Amino acid sequence: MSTREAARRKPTNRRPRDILLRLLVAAALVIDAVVHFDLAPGYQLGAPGGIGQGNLFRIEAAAAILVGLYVLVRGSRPAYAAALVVAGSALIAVLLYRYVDIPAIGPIPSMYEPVWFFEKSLSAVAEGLGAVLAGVGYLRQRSSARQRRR
Amino acid sequence: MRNNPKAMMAIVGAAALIALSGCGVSGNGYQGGSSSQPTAASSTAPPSGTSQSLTITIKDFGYQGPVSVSPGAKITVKNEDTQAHTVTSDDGKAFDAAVDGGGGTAQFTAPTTPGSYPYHCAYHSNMHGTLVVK
Repeated sequence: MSTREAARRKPTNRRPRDILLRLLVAAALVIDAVVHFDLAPGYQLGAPGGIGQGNLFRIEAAAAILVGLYVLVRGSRPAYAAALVVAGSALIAVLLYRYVDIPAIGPIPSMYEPVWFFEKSLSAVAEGLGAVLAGVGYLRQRSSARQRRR
Repeated sequence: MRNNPKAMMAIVGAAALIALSGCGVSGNGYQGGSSSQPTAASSTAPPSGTSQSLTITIKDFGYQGPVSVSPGAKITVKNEDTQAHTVTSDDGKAFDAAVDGGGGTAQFTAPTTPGSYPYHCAYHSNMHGTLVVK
């Protein structure tokens, strides 16, 4: 087997470029989690209805940490898919509640906040980048799996 | 990744997101950093108790209302947001009024010592305003 062939057959998630990708996705999720943990106490007091906005922030942050670790440790298709779901759903939520005045829905309080500020913008960018990079990782893992099957 | 058009599209999307993020840091609720201590404009100015009534309106996570008031003025806070807010002096002593969302109101008394009093919302750290007593 040639060196090139051996490199091609090496699992995708162990190549340097893929390790970098895993680190970037995890970093984006950590930024997202830190911002949400930081803002949670105040937002819980501001919107305590239902489960409370601060508690929703804490749940989102905990999910981001867990999935970030999953991506770091495994770098597999399911890990990237989970990262895509967590980062993507957080980005959709922040954009939705920035521009649409959605009333309280069941345990979810009204969280309309028609402003941007540094921390919020930072987490939104991290969520967007995290989702995009997780999508790239997912596609790379899928194409690598197809190549190995051939 | 080099030969994967989907991956290339994703990277282009990420670059666009970074470019767009520059437009995001704004908002009518954020006025930058502020001093945490009130600044006395004139330590010799005598307090002049007054019955002047003024209103600070909170809307869209921003403070709207009087920039300057008389010493000891009664100030009403009206919250037009759905979320609760506070009007809390940065020094934590001069005044602190919590007001419920959905049209809630609260009242506080302006300091009797003339000066500039930066304040913020204790729940939403991006909200800042300044009350000048003179």
